[in-house]
Amino acid sequence: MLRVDEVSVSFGGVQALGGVSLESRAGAVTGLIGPNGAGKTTLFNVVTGFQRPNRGQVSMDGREITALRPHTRARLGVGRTFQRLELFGSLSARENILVGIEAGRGRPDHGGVRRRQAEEILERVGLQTVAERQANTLSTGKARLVELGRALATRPKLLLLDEPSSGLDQSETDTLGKLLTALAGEGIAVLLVEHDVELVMRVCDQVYVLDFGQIIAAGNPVEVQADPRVQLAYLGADVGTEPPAPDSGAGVGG
Amino acid sequence: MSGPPALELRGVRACYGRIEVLHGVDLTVPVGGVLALLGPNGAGKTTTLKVACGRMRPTAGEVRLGDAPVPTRSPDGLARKGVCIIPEGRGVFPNLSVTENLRMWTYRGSVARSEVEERAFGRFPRLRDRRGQLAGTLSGGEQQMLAISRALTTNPTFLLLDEISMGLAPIVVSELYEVVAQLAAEGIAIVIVEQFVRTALGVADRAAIMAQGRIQLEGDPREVGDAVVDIYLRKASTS
Amino acid sequence: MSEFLALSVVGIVAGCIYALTAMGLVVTYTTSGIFNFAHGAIGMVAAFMYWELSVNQGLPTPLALVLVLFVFAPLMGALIERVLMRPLHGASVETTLTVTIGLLLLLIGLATIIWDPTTSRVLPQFFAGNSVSILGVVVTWHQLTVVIVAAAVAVGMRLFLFRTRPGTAMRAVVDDPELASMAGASPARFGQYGWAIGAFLAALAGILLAPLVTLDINTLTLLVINGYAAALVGRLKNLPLTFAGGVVLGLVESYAVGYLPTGTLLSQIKPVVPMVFLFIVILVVPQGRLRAAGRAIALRVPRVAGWRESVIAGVVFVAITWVVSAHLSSTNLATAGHGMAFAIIMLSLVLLVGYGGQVSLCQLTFAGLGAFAMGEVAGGGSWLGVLAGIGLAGAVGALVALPAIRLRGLYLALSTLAFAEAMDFAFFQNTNVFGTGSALTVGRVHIPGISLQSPRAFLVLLAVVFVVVGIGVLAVRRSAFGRRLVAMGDSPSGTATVGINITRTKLVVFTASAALAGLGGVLYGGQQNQVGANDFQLLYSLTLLLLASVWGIKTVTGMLFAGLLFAIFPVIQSHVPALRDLLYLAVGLGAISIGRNPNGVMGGKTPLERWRDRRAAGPGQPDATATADVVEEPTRVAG
Repeated sequence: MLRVDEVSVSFGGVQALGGVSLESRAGAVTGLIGPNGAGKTTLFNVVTGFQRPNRGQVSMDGREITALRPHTRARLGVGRTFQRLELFGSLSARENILVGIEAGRGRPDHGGVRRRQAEEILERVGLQTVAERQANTLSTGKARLVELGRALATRPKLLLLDEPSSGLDQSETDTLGKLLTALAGEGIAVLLVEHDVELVMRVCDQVYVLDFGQIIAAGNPVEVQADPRVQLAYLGADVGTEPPAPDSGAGVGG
Repeated sequence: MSGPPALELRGVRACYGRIEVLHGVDLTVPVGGVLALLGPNGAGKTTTLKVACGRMRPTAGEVRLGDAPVPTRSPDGLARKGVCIIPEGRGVFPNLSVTENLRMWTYRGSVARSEVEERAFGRFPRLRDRRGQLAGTLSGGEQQMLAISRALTTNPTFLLLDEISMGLAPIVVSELYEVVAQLAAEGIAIVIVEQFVRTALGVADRAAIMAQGRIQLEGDPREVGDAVVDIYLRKASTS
Repeated sequence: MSEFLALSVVGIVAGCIYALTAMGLVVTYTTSGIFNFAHGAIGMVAAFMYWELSVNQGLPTPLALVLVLFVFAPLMGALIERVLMRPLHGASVETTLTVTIGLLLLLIGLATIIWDPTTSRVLPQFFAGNSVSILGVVVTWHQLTVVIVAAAVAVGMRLFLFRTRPGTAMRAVVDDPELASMAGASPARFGQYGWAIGAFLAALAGILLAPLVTLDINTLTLLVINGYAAALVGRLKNLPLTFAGGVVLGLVESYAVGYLPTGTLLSQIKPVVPMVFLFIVILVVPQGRLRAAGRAIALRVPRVAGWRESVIAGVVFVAITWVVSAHLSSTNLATAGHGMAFAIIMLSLVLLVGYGGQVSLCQLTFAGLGAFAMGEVAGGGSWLGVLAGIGLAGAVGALVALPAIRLRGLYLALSTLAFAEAMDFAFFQNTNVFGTGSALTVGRVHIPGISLQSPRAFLVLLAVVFVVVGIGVLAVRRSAFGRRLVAMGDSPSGTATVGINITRTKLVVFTASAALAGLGGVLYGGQQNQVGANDFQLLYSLTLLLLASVWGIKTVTGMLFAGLLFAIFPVIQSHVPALRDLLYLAVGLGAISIGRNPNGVMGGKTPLERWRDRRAAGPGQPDATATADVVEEPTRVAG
């Protein structure tokens, strides 16, 4: 479904992504993990059109979309949520989802079809009880679910989720996990950035590990977990175990 | 040592809006102690740090710095009490030169300018070569060195480090942690919030793991170290 | 050659004054994050104060200068910061815009009360009568003073910021307020210094400028707007570039006057040059990272009335108008009609600003175009004229929107401001448009079988139109397009990710809003029977926006009150001369209150709604609107 080929992004002189390639297949949940500042959100921005890559290509269903604008990609079936919420704060939860349903469809609304769809989505993400509440009065967890619902409302073929579980409690996280698996079962390609490693291990079919803007490991969850490079990236090195190299040069990112 | 601890949190609860993110946190850092505060993202580490330095008011519980409650919303007052906070990802003034950054650290202090530069450049010679350069144009590692220099030059009694190794190459991280170890050896009380567990455990004399707004485990760094791998890479919670 | 030199001298002198102004703007903006629309008004008040002391009270010039520049102006700046600006910390662009424009009107109002504008005052040039000849061009000492002072200030600012401890600390505060406060440099204090320095520079510019033009309240206040362009050249942060921008602007303006053919239209080009320059700069200069965050949304937005509710309210309103109007005197009928016409124009703001979150400072310009078309087309009273008015305003609105479409917040507001000023000078004030000092007759539309010539009939028509348009606006808000508008205002990124073309949505709402303002203008012309060159000034547009904000720019009823109030003020003033210029004062104060209550008067909750909320929340549940006990924002919506 999604193919990212050798994508590089630099901000000023700092390289945020250095030749990243990955694939996200329809019907599967693909995990993207890595320490803070590894470039995960930048990669999402490249895929959804908010960030032009300096090099590399992004394609959907074999069609190159690297130069398309965000809304055009959305119409091709790219949906996403944001790590830092981008809700329509002065609209109700239901209206947020309605905006998603109504976007890009010129056909008239016969017999309240859209309202019914909105109710279905509200139920699916578990927001029926707060459907009328203005979105920016919701808790972070609920707000994340509104974003997820809004993305689902556009009927995406590819769904990018940026830390959907942060701010969710344990039972909400469990529900989210089941929902992600169900979405993949419907043929959607789900690409998941997540810090809750347990959730990633549970729902992902394939995991990529990003560190310093590069994929350092990929494979099924069990392989990735056992990879020593991953452990190093996640847990850091013991102090003093490595001799300081003469070129202890520049760190990346910042 | 006797007397009150450097930092004490008792039954601290904190909320963002209506959602509670800290559900009763107890932490004690003795004078001269080094505590590593670990845990996955979203566990409440940064919030704990915010509460500890008065940037956020707890909804319940008590925060004491030394012998007094922490002053709320007064970074200035904290600095005067000898507390030095290196915030995550932005410990320098990007549009000030390296020298100007160093001079800002002692804006109120009594340390002479030459001495400040001597201490910082003595520890990080690389900064001396870049003294006239704007801090924002330094590499990530150099920026963090400059940030840490604040702890070297302001004679703090208590140091809070928030994710100082984020986005840095391991080699730079170990260089930074050498300085942290040196500061610890000088008897400064330190709280290290860090996602690179092993790195932090290497200098800490006590460690606490947070998950879901609670301290899940506290104890000797070695014991905690084994448990933490589980929490990070296998299970989200030990409870 | 000598002509070129002479023009260059004039240009450089004007440019230096623009540069001084612009540097002041940049200093306040960088230290406090607030773009001060009242900068010119501060300079104006300082110039008047200087006149008061030196000319009226007869103090020696140096003493008067010291008092104004080093005591009065900095104190005023510091006071404004402490009282008005500090509480705005973290507020949205719309709010800071409203408050500083409110301050602008407030200062104009105060100045008008203290210094009667009908009296003419002269502020002598410095070293009047002395001049030197440079390369054959006569340069007065005053001109020399301007250049020297500007250069000295530029060098002085540079030294202060880069060579002194407080200067370094000020830059540190701009870089990272929190880190700076850890180092012991309080951001609030440096914000105050920033406003004091800004006010000092505004005063300097005002005092140097006044002798070159006239000591007139509006002229001085608005001329300083030219400095905006220079500040934007420096991207609101770079002082050397800002200075250069000011000088270039002065030169361009001077050469334009000197070299452009003195045709009928082009002869009046001078006042337009800075605005065209500003417009171009906004479009060309990449939008630096503005400090303002996204749109801070009021925790609760006003409820949107349903179909039935709004139709019933509308019918009742028309009926009341019908009954009450039978008992009104012709003067009162005129006032009411006037207000109703403005209310219709203001409905265009609900659509654009209230729902779409796009600030426009040029709605009256569109209204003016509507009135113009109505008066010019097909004898001035036909349906064709109405269509032409709506069409012309809509078309021009689209033309303005096209280049401005990618702008947000402050930049969009500034580009509409430039457009309004340019149109005022180039079009409305142009003797070819309304004729010299005269007015254009605008007829009332003919509806077969109904005579609209009586004031009462026309008032009822206005009420009907207001109700129809108001219901329409509410219907838009309830529609898919309305949700899309609000979504775009709340989070452009979020809107794009669901597949909505933001560019097109913006274009549509801008055009529709301009067309609606055009319709308002058509009716305003009909109500007045004529329109003149001074009916559509920028200041009125600003007042209109502020009144709308004060009454609740997301509400239709708010616009009715705002429009009526706008019309009633002049009437009150004519009856109670002591309250002269009450309008500006009141509007200014009201707008400043927006800092506290962003929803405006009608945007608050009715007691019934509050009761419903309490009941819905149930016992034991915290009120959703209650502010949580945290120092930080809970959820930051829109980045």
